[in-house]
Amino acid sequence: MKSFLSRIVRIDLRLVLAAVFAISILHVVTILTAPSLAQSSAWDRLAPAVKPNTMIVFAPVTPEAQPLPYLSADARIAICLFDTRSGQIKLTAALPSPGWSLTLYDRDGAAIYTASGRPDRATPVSLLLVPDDTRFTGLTPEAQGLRSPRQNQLRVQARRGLAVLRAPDAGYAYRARTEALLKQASCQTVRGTT
Amino acid sequence: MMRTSEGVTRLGSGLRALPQRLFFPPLTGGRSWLGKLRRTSFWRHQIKKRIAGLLRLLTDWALFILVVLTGGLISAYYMMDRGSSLSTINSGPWTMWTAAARTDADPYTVAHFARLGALPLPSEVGETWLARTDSAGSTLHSSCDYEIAVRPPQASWWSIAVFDADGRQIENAAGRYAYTSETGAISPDGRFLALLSRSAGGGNWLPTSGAGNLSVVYTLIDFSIATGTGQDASNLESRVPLITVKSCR
Repeated sequence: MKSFLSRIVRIDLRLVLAAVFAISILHVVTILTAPSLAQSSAWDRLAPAVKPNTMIVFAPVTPEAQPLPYLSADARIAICLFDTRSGQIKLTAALPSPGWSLTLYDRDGAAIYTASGRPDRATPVSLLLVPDDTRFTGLTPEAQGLRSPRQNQLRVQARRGLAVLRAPDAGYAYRARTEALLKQASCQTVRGTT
Repeated sequence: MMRTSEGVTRLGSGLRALPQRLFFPPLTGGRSWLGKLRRTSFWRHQIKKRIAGLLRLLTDWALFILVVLTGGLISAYYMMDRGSSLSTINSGPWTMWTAAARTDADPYTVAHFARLGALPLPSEVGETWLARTDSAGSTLHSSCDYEIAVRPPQASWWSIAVFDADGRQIENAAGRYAYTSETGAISPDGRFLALLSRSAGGGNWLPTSGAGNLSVVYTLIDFSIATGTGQDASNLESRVPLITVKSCR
């Protein structure tokens, strides 16, 4: 015991500092590389199953059909995998009541845009997703001296990601209505316009 | 005369350079076997010493690398899985990642959700609380029955859902996986009470079947904060549900 203690006391302080430094470096590297090394991120799970630039209404979440972990049966979801490399994407949805939300996630799962339903009125959402680079995609209607046909549209810069429309489960009686509202949401490529 | 000759020989060998002594040993006449033995044991000792030194060095390095790998990976795993005060807030058994799905999220939050594979509700929109233990600190398990009690804010949408430890829904014949502010029955005193049990129960029963360890998710979208009509959001204790164990098998 005594020799063990004396050996511990003899531990080189420089070695301890080197170990702490190396642990810190490994810790930081692990944290920073974890997102790119993760094999089962939400994007990896959903991208193979979803057709790009199409709003797909998912079946009610059950143990047999649960696309993501911790995705609860408290809501129905519709997902659009948007890809603006092939053109701008027009995204429309209605958020009729509290609990409804539309969120645009990038590939890393960060929300680049989100809107949620309000208790007092329905919220229509119309988004134009444009590429996030400086690519020239033609003159805008305003630049051509024309009135923009999309006065109420919001332009969101994004390249690839997931648009998730959540509709809360309001009970069995409302399920058909909820599904109909989800199916009204659209996500499509806009060709030949800016 | 003999003694002198031996003395000269010893003196001569003592003055010779070390490489010469090692590689060209002096002839020792009839005692060559003893010299050989001495030389052999000398080399054996040297080799043993070298191997011991090498082993000590290798052991030190192995220990150093083990300590670094263990410390670095375990600390990273813990910070990704459980979080800390840098990335989460806690209230009783409940944990919320404060920067969930935000573009300015810290690396721990980004790593947590990438590893989890979930798409959380952005923290600007709602609060997503996760509990793996009851309010007394014991791990939630399907062999026990629990009561979940909460008084949600008036103007809010909320849900309570139960999962297994990996975030999978629990298979049950009743098809009950979650309650929301629109599907849950509220008590006359304004509280929402749910029963987590593998046996069928009345009221807001959430079956846990034989799932083993459980996790409960409480999602809250509070509009009263925006309208300024709700309760104090900083009082976290009253904001999250209380999970009490009722019985265990």
